[in-house]
Amino acid sequence: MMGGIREGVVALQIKVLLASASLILAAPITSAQVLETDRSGVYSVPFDEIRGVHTYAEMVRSARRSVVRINTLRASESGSERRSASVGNGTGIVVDAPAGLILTNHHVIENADFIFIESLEGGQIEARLLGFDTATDLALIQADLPGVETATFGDSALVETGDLVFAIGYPRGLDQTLSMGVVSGAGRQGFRNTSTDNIGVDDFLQTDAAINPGNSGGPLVDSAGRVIGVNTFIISANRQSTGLSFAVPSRVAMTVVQQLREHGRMRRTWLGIFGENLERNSQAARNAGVDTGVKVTAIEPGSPASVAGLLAGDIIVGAGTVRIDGLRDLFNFWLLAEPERAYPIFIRRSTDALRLSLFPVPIEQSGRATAASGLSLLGAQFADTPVSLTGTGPRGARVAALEPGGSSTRRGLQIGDVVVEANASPVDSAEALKSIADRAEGGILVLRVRRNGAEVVLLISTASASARRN
Amino acid sequence: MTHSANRVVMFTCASLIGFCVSAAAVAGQELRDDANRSNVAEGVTCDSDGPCIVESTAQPLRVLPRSFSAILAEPSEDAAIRTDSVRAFMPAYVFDRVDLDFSDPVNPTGWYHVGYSTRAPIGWMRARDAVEWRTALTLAYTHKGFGTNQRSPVVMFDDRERLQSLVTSGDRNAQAQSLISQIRQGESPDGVIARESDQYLDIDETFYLLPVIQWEREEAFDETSHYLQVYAAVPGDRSVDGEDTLLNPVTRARGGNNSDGAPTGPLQVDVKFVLDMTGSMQPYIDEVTAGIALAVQNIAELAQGDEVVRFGLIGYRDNLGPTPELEFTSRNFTPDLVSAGALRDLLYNDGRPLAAQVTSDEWAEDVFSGVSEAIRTGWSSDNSVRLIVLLGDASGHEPGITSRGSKSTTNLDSATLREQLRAANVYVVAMHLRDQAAEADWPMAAQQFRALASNTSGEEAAYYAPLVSDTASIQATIARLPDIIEGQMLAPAREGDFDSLRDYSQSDEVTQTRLDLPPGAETAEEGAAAVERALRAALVDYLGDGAAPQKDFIAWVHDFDLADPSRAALETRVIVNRDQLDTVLRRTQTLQEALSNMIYARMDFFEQLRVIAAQTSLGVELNADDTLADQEFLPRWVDALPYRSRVLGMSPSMFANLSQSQQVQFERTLEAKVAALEEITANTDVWIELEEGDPESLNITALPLALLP
Repeated sequence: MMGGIREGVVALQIKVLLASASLILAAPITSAQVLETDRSGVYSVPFDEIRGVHTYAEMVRSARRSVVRINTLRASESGSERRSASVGNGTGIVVDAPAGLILTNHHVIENADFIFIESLEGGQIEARLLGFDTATDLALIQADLPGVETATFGDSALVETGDLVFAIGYPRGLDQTLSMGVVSGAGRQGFRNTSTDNIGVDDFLQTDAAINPGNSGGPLVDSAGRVIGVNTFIISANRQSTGLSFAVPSRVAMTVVQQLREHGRMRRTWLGIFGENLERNSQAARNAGVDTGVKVTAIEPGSPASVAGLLAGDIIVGAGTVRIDGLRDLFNFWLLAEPERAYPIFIRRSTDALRLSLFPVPIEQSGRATAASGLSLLGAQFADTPVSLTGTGPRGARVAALEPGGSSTRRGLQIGDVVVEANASPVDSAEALKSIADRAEGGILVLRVRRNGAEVVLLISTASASARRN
Repeated sequence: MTHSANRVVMFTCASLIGFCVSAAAVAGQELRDDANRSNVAEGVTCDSDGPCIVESTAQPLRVLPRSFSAILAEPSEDAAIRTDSVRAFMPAYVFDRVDLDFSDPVNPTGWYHVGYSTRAPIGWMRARDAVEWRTALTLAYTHKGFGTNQRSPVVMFDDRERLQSLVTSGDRNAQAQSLISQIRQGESPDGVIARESDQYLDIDETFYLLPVIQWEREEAFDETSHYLQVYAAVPGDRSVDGEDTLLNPVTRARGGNNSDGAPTGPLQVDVKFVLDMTGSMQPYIDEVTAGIALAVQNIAELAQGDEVVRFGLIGYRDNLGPTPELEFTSRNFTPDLVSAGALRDLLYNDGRPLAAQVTSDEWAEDVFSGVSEAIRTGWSSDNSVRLIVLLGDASGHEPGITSRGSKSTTNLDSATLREQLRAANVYVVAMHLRDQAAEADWPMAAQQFRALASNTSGEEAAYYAPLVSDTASIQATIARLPDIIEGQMLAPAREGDFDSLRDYSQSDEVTQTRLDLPPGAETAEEGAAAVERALRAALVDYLGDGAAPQKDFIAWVHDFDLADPSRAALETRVIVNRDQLDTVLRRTQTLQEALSNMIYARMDFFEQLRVIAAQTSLGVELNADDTLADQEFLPRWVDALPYRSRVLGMSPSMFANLSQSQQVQFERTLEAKVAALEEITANTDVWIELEEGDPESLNITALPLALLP
């Protein structure tokens, strides 16, 4: 489908999505540096004293300069003559003006042979496709377009129903158009993406701001002028706005932008978790003191979940920065999880509450028996000790594996040891140990280690092994 | 206040100082009026147990010495000068305040009893030579911007009222533009002392101090706008006729009168480890060196204020005659004493064992060669407090003790060595690592080690004897070293109990005189040169290397662009040391983690605070209903700072009543602050060592208030 807003999407037949025969999950993780969360909002409706009117013109002025029109063309051949025909239009958001990076919906450009961009000031320029992700219906294109500004992104996790929002775009080929509404709901699920892949991040902001064909790929902006979503589809039987509009949240969008920019594609991961929705009022739910979550039914041997210490029977209630109420949340987490990065997993195990540390590996390694998803340092694999949120057990970096002949082995570190202190600084995680090791003067570490209830001190050098994560 | 006499039209600029100053400020005392009024006596409690305490912050009261101040032995103009090498801007603790009188603000009278550590004062400063610095706040210029979008230069006023009248005027922008225009044309508008220089200094790259004496909030606009009274150094050449400096011959002569012999300077502590490196140590040498490395870290942290701890390492093996493969009889690994970190590297020895790969033909070793080497080789100074820690698993060769002749290379016995130790003022802690394979050697080794460690007549020797079969026991014994050093050496020395030190040393002279003359300076002339170097070092990043010694002045500034009220011109920062930042970081992490656990693990926020605080030994007890600020979740000095924290203004129970997105907002904000604080902690470039040899924990940085939770 070319151009226009995606319409007629019906929430039917939501399936539990499986990849590589295991439930594999991730968080809408965006870095703290990307999303602006601590900016003061406006405390009353802005008033233009000169004109004597209430207005949001000032708030959205900058945002409008970061919104561009997208026209798509398709090549056709007529006899010996090649022609191009306009096949649709949509909207784009400038995510990096100096680099010319523009975010839009995948469905806006998916069948285009040529993509042209036009700024608010006019003038078209051809763009090239950098990458796309069908699971989120997002694409990143590049064009050196002058006169545009980088959009400021807000954090969609902070959005609440009732927040004032604006949609900016080019509906039905009109010039740039602003419409206003409120957030009708956040974290909307139950809409399967109609893209060709059978997977999709099912997490949307719903708004009653008018969105029509041509708005696709444009921003949903809050009252401080920050982009909180990418307008993507409406529910309508007749291609007209009915006040049921949906946007990909900015947390999702920024994660995708980051990966498309760095890798040209979304790198999906292998977690190795099999699960089912927790039954309310079940014995497991009562024991755990929660009524929603995902009950782990099995863990693939050698998988990142296995290395993290996840067990069948555990109830996952949170992952990364996502609250897990059911499988759909866990899918969303997996679809956006990046390989080689640590994510906290919050679980209930019987009556205890624990935080584990999960290192997803690239999905290409799916099914391979491996224990190499810890933090490799000092000739050993370190994993975080499961942190009891109820206060039992030490915190530290647990030795999960030792390299034969490595410096840790030579200096007497043993599997199961828990490093609790390094160079007089407390170690509460494998990452913390790495951080201390990275800045150790002379590369020498004095480790305080818990072993079978006793404590020993070891002197180890970082020189012989550089930190890497497998 | 009258300005006419001294008001000078000309402005002089110091390109590296960060601002320009009018000659009026340099020439006239009158501009000090407000500063001295601010040196009010209220809100400070002094007793005899330590520094005076500022009641609002519960922090010790500090003063900033003005340029070319002196410290005297008594609160009297006739008293001997302890030092006039006082560094301007180098904060000193106040232990007492005597006869303070600010009624004549141009020439306040009275005295401050001051010291550079919290342990003890070192002398008296005149009130007119010191500025009370209760806040630890300093200012940093914001970046000016580029091209036509530059902010206006900061303008410094002689009194707050004049500045406030501009800030709150209806045509502020026009007035400010006019004022700045006058200054740029070389005029001197009424009430203006100085302006920011055209050159921008990034405080994170080039550290400078612009200390805040006091501040007032401007309520007319928004809560983040302030008037701030600052203390600043300015260019000048007062040193040429330098009253009360060592460049002045009269002052030099008076400085030489300080002959009371009392230790007045910071302690210098030297700790040398004399380690058995024979083959018999091989099975446990790694545990021993690891234990030493840990102890060394903790010993280094015993240093207070400007005290300095240095370390040495001497290894001993045995006579090379019978066993040349031993490579050495004794070896000094530290010709110059080193820091804790450097000693750690030596102990690691590139991963190679320090113990010999071969063993000699009998259990006894040449222990005394190692001890003798340690006595003879260099110490930090003649007056340092000295310690030798001896660790070995066997006795030493006594002179002529075997039928084959002695293997002793020193021909010394333990009693003779003890006398040498006394003569050199060296305290010994002896750790006899008892190997059950050599049980027959234990009595001899114990006797020798005890003799060497008989530091104080009539007292128990500092002798310890763990079994080597128990690694934890060895390391636990070594881990006692910091307590031993603190209790038996440092505490008496800090209390001035030099009789105690003499008891072990039997020395007639144990003095610390670093403040009288800098280390190594034997004459007053050398002292003067050293003082000059030290002064420049203290101000080098502020004034630029090679600058002449500076005067100072006090003024009022506004922290926003006078011509553009929406634009910050000055960022308020608080001077913190690593220990203080670590406290703030750990507590911010605790808050963030508790919030994260509440949001994503559905735990009770208050319970999480308590659990994490306990797990991380945070040492705080909380209740659910009082605000975190009221419960001093962060230290009181933080609470007294001029910023308002939404987080700390809430009680734990309030967090649970927030909407989830509000909780996420707080969590995200704290996460970002934790990341920023961690970055500062790890960035060695932004940490300043005030005095060479200071322990790392005392290094300071200027922390933006915005990074506090």
